[in-house]
Amino acid sequence: MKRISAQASARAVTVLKDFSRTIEDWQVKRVVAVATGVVRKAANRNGFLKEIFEESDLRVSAISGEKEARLTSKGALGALGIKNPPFFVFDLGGGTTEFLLSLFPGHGKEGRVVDSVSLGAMMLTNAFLLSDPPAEAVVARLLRHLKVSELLVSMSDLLEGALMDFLEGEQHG
Amino acid sequence: MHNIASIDLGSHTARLLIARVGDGCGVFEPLGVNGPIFTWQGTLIRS
Repeated sequence: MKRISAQASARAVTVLKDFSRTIEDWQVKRVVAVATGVVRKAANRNGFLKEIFEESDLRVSAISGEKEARLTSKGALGALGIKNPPFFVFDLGGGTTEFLLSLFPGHGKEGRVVDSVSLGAMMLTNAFLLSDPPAEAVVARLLRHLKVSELLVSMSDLLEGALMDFLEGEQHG
Repeated sequence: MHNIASIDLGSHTARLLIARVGDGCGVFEPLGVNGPIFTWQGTLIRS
């Protein structure tokens, strides 16, 4: 399990102390603060969040990948005025990607959710794209990595499940 | 009317959004494109 380094922790605390001052300046009545990606997977998550609270007076909660996907989708669908399936929402972040797919009304109000996967723009850039432009061999290696990635496997499972639900609905409807 | 805030501490980016909301009337107004929407990059993963 990875840990948040002391340097990274110090950077985050500096930013959140700045946020805290801004929130005070704007006389904010209610604050909702969440942490995602790297934080929820870190071995020292609790200590990190405790330090943030002690330094900035902000209570930050580490939310699950599923909750992140639901909140992201709620915001995106609300902003776009989309109320009914079919829709597919995904959030490509720095460390993880969340996605939510709903093909049929039977999937419920908020649709089906697949938990977040460890594929992020910064993660992949840091791991593969070390030169600009990247060499062809490096791009090929990245594409090979993506082809076997958990995102594609999850999507495949999700679509298969959705198709089975649809076929069952057709048979019973 | 009163102000609310959300903070998203992500792997690479931290965001703060402050919005004005109505008391029970459903108003939600982010306070300006150039107003208090703050983004800070490089929080946990360095670019």
